[in-house]
Parts: sequence; structure tokens; C-alpha cells
Amino acid sequence: MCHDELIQLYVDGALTPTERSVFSAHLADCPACRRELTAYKALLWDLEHPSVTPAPPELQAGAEALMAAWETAQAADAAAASPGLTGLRIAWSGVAPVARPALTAAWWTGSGLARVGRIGLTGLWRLVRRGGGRR
Amino acid sequence: VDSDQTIVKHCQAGRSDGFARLLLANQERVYRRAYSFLHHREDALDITQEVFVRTISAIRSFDPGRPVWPWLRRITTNLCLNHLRDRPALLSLELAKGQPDRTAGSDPAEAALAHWDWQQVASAMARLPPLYRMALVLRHQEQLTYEEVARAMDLPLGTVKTYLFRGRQALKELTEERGG
Repeated sequence: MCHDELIQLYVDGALTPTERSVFSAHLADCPACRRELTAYKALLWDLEHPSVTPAPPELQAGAEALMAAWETAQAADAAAASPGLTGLRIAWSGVAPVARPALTAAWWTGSGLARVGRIGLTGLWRLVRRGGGRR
Repeated sequence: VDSDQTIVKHCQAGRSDGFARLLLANQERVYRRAYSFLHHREDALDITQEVFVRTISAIRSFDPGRPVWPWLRRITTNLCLNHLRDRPALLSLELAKGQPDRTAGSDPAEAALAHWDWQQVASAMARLPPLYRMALVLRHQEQLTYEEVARAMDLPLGTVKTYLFRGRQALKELTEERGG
């Protein structure tokens, strides 16, 4: 092929009008470039029209986990807006920054939520879909 | 069918039906885009999950007047790029050796592809370096301009043009190899 890059840009509509006009004239005289042009046109058509594959069934479990995470986030937002938690936040702001990591760790390790907090939603999701195995 | 604006406003009001509709309208699309970038089923599932986890916290500040898909596509693209950058082997610009590739046969859905030509292209895409594949998908399936692809991938425009040129060239050679 003599002008592979130009052929690609021509098919992709990325040449300027002047470049396009000059290259069109070349195409008229060059059977090799015309053959390449046909091949690239077919390739880009296939690339731009992918077959739609069925969605994997794990997405349903993922959606359920995400809905649970959404509900949790909304509940947390509502709680954060309540005066009691506002008071907690003010109290927290009074704790020396150096002491916060230790207090946070103590809260998590002492809570039933600790495991969920440590592995996070993504970790839970990986546990959920581990049943299917990883290639 | 709910508009993006309605869905976003319902989410911002804390309504669960709004988030359920956001998932219904976009979850499969996010998965397919992540899969088209990574060609790895489990990684694409993980990325899909992470996209929506981030959406939960970010939707409150999202402008309801904007379309949702470009935003989700940007999160998906960034997460996939981070995934590749965390695994230097995946940043190689060499074609995957031999066949089948690392994904072939892993997704039963792929085996059911009805269109023979597309199957040839899909198999060849799986062997491309992931960065070439991502550039091709953003250009030819998302219909982004070259400049938009460069911004989405955080790469210089010249690099993206090179990736697109080499990616299309390799794709043509691979499909001719298989077809011939």
C-alpha cells in the first residue's frame, strides 16, 4: 500500500477539503489505494456497528448491592442533617487531629460495622460474585 | 422513558426510584463500554460497580441540565485508565501473542455473536494493546473527535493519532489474517 495513513484519514473523514480533493485525484489513478480504501471502509463499518452481547447475569446482583449502598448513603445523609449528629461533628472537630486516627480505628474495630467498613462496597461486590469464579 | 434531567433531579432529591432508573438506563452500557476497553469480564464488572459507587456520592453536585452518559463515560474511561496504569504489562503497545487471547472463550456471550464480520473484528480487538483499543472505541464507537479522545485519555493529540493509525492498521492485518 502506498498511502496507508492518508487512506485511514480519508475514510475517517479527517482530511481537510483540500487534502481530500488531492487524495481523491490520486485514488482515481491508483488501484492499490482503492483496494485498501475498500478494506478500511469495511473495517470501520464493522467497528462502528458492534453486535450487542447479552448482559452478564452478575449485573443484577451488582444493581441490588448498589441500591443497598444508595439507601445507606441516603440514611447517612439524613442522619448527618439531624441535630444530634451535628453535635457529634462539632465534638469531633474539638478532638486533636493527632488523636483522630486512633479514635476512628477504635470505633471501627469496636463496631459490628467494622468488617463492612474495612472491605467497602467494592469488596462486598467481589465476595458476591466470587461464586462465579475468576478466569 | 424518563429524561436524564428527571432521573438526576429525583436522585438529588434522595429518591430511590431515581437511582434505580439511573441504573436501569445505564448499567449495561457502562459494563459494555468497560468491557470494550479491557476485554476482561470480571474487571469490567468491577469497574461498572465502582462507577456507580462514585455516582452515588457525586450525583448531588451534577448539573441536571447536562446529559448523563458523557459523565458516566468519563468516569468509566478514567477508572479503566487507572486500572491499566496500575498494571504496567497492560500498557505494552505490543499485540497479544497467539490465539486465543486472554479473553477468548471467557464470555459465553461472545460465543453467541451473530455477526461473523463483527466477530472477526472483536477477536482482533481483543489482541490489540489496550491503549490502542481504548482510542479506537472512543473514536469509532463513541464518535468522539480526535481532540476529545486525547482529552478523555489524557494524552497528547499526536499520540492519540498514532494510536489510532497503528490500531486500525493492526486491526486490518489481524482480520485479514483470520479471514484469509
